[in-house]
Amino acid sequence: MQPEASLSLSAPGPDEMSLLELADRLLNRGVVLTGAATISVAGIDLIYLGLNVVLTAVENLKTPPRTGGRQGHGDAAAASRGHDG
Amino acid sequence: MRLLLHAVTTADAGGPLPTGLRGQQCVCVEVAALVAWATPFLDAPAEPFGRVDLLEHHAIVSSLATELDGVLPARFPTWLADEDALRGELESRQADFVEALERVRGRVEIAVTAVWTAAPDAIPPPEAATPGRKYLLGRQQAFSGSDKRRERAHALADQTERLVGDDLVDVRHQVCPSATVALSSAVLVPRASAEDIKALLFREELDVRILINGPWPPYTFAAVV
Repeated sequence: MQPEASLSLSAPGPDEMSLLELADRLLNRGVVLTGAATISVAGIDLIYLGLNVVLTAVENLKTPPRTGGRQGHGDAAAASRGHDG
Repeated sequence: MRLLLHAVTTADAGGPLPTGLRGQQCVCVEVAALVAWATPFLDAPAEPFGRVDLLEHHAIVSSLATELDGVLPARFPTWLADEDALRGELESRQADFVEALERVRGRVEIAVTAVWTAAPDAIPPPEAATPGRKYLLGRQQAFSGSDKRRERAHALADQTERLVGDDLVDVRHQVCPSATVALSSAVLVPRASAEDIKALLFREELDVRILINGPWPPYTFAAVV
């Protein structure tokens, strides 16, 4: 599959930023079960440029989940009602 | 048959099974008060997943969230070897799932993103007698400017919480996650109040543009500890 987003280092526009926010959630948050993840999301990484936080999601895609145990979440450091960063 | 998991939900579904990824029919696996929704794949997908698949997964989870009280979205892509493996996961962590579903039941996530509308203030480089001193003064200037932005971002986070008021169930903030973004927040609110809260949160600011998205399924609050 060819990448669907062009490579751009300029600041993302509002629509693009909204997509980034959504993609961050889909790839970086949510329930994780012990499974055999296939890490191959073509094109996704390109739409993340410009939002550093989402780059962690791309890294998650490249990292196979642990087997036989629970898996942590990338945003676990963000405490409830707390600010991280 | 491998399964790509979409969500774990409460077991009050009555409608037909939704269409899964790439036109496949979803399957659901029930364990007591839980239902897991997944797309079956006979083999590894012929094409690697891309943006369309990601958005289809979001559409499936959103559809479930509109029909069911409690939905825990799965991180994409989460694979299970087969239905037995999925059932085993649900059984072994049943109490955790039930507790997490209670936390998000009847609630949705709103995304608040504050994007800087101007580049950081350009400050003339400091004058100093030696290169080392000049470098250190420059670093001091850079940190000072960054501290101001961070302080402003924290103020925006506090303002967001104040605006949501009593409807605020939970919130996560990421302060200055990138050079262009001042604040990325996920706010968990009652579904019934979501549209009113979106209107409340939208505001004009001189130095940032506020983007409000959602209501979305509670992706950020679906962690099962």
